[in-house]
Amino acid sequence: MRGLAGFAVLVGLWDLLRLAHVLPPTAAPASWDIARALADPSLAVAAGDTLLAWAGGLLLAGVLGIAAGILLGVSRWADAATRVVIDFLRPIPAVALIPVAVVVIGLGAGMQAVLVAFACLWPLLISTRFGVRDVDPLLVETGRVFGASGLRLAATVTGPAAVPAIRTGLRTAASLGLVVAVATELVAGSPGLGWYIAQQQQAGQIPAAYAGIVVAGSLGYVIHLVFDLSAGRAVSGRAVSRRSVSGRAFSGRR
Amino acid sequence: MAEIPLIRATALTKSFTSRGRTTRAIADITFAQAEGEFLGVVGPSGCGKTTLLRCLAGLDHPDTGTIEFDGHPITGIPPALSVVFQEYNRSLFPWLTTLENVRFPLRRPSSLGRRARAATREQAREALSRVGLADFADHHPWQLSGGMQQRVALARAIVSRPRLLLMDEPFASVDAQTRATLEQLTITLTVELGLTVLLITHDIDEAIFMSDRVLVLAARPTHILRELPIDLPRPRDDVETRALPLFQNHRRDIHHLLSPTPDS
Repeated sequence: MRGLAGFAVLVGLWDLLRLAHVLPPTAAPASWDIARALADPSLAVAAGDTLLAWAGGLLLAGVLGIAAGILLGVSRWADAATRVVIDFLRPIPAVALIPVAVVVIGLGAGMQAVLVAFACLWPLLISTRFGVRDVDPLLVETGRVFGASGLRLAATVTGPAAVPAIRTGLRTAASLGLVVAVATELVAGSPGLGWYIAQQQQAGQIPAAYAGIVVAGSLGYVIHLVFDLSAGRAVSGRAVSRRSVSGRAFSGRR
Repeated sequence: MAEIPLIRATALTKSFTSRGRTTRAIADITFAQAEGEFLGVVGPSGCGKTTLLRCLAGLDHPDTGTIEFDGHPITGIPPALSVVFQEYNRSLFPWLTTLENVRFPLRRPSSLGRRARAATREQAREALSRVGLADFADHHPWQLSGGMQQRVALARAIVSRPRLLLMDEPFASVDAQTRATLEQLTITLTVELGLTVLLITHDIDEAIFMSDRVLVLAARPTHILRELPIDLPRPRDDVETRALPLFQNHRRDIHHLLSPTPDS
């Protein structure tokens, strides 16, 4: 409720600054004009296109990143062999690859999903790798003593123990993925919110351009809510286990 | 008494190398344990007791020497063996309920059928009630006290009716009151289920109180100083048994063995 009140204040402030000519009225349309532009059905279609590219890219990155992260977490050999390549590729901004991707893959949802996947891959890969490596060896040995080995050990012990770290990576990747999806549409003109915003701006439909921005922000907010909720549960589980670990250190001192 | 011992270790040695320095953990250990026997292994902190247990459990390999389980040299972790670790809060699976933790050893690929799954759940429930935690089946380990967590670990260790139960300082991380309760519970389970237990501890009283025989280990690199049969009557009582002159004698003997110059 308090969050909504803050939002209302922001809208009120916007209109106030506009009427006071602090914001130029031509570039800053009235909030009710923006609200009216939100009803445009093609805006919903654009939002759907963006979400589709985002989901496809995140899914691709999730499968690849988690699988590769587990491999690098388990195998020191694989980790050492790939370290230089990863450290070189990771800092490349996905947006910088747009021109190349357009040439190689062509325009369309596929190219967009690949770029989103490229951006989302690294946080997922790195956090999975660390999550797997940080699993308490005693937990793994307990699993082995009680009859688990190989894939069953990975599925019943190592994997679940790394879940909190993987969730953290997923949260970062989900937000980052939306940024890259919209940026790709802005630059390359694939269908979606970014393209919608650019189109409306060029046609002089300033309220509609703002409506696109509002929808993009709302999508980001919803994504953040959904992934934070699932991660929040993991974090609370982790806090509890950390507390009991410090309890162990304490009792070990007596 | 001429039968094959359940576990036999012969001339074990073990060293660790880190940063070019070699530490000898086990100098020479030879012993055998009969089925149904409660064997205590007592020694000073850091003497290599845990290394010995890890070798017996198949989690580590001795440099030289052999370990035979039921007459056969071990290759890897013997399936009929289970372990209770000291750090219960690191060895219980925090994402599983108490019941699922206890059921873990029964979750073999062969028990995937619905009926088999229900049967293993019943078995786990039975093990939980044996340690007095039947009402906590749906709790997660981190919702329980330390003593209760170690009970869960105990239930998990007995659920598959292992032929050998290894315990590594199982009560070293709980308070004295809880420790006495857990010692008594372990003795009760040993009798009820006919378990063979090897208990590693640095607590001399605990070793005497629980065991049929005690191996006294020297400081690192460790070897056996003395094998001491404990012929205290059973059932043992936390107060009465500890008050017996025989208990005090054993206690004095082991203390002298572990601190060679008591009058200095």
